[in-house]
Amino acid sequence: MPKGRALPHATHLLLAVALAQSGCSGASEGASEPGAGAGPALAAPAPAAQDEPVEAEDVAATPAPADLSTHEVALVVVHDDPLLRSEQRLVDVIVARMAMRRIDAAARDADAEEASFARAFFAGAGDASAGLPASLRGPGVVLFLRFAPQRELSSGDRATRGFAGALAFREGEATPFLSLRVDDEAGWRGPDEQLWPWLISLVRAEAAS
Amino acid sequence: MTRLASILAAMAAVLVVIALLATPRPARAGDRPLEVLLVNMAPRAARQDCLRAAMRSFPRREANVSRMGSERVRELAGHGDDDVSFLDFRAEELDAAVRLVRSEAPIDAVILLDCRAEESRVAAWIRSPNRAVTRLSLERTVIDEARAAWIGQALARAAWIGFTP
Repeated sequence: MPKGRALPHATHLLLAVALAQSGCSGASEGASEPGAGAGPALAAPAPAAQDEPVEAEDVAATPAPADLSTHEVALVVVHDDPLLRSEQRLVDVIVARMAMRRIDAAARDADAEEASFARAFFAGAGDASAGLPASLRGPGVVLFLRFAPQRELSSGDRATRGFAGALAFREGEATPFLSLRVDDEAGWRGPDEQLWPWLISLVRAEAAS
Repeated sequence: MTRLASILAAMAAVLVVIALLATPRPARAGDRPLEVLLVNMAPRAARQDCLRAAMRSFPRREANVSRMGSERVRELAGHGDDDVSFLDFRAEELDAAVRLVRSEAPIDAVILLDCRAEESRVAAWIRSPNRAVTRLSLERTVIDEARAAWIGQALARAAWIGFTP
């Protein structure tokens, strides 16, 4: 594991703070609407629960592919639908928060091979024999993040259902040391819901080891 | 006259206090503790330290925790004779176990936990009050006090999702 990387530039930190704050405001978007299209390999949808008002969202611009091979943490995002702005912002927040913890991380969408590899593990049927896709065999921790399938509003617009899982691989390992699989209704969403500090603290410990 | 006004003011104050005390408080979230069924899924021979350490960071003041044996739970879930991992249990498979628990209120959340620090592994299955399931596993990872506390926080986070007392 590479260590001793340069500290983030001051402007980077300021950007990180701004992103983190903007992410907090967006974290409560989306509601746990039970029974609406659970992921293909997760447990059955839950019965009726509380509804929250949601707003339609715009689709985010596709981010430029990033070279993850030189970073301490490679964040690879798996999703079924084009990312909404709030979802892209959530990814940005995670990268920013890692920067605030002095973790050198970068994020990009999974390509077809990576997505297929990760989906198998999210379904509880991962195949470790082939190892990580070659595109991710770098020196750092690989962290897959999966977004739940979005929900369609009566207006025809789409709204996020939030985060649905994480897988973390150490360098040279073909099975994840962390696996978090969350039903689409569970709603582990924003940075204020304990998940990100919780996840980042684990990755921090791994990156430092 | 002034004395009479003072007495009347004092009586009014006493009446206001009595009225405030007698008024029933509207129900609010948190009025009832979360009812949790906790099952230790580790083998009998495994040490208990890890589970205890994880549950130390679980907010026990806000939850009533009931216990049940893992073999009984597997049997009630329909997996008494197979070796299906409890991480693959479906939410509804725990209904029978939940119905058997004697608790002050119906069980809200179910936690199945196999925490083995000596083997550097943890597996947890949490059914939230909204019946969504969170499955967490850590492998080849040192489970010290801090990591166990981290796991306890994750259990708590998932156990409270959708709780409306």
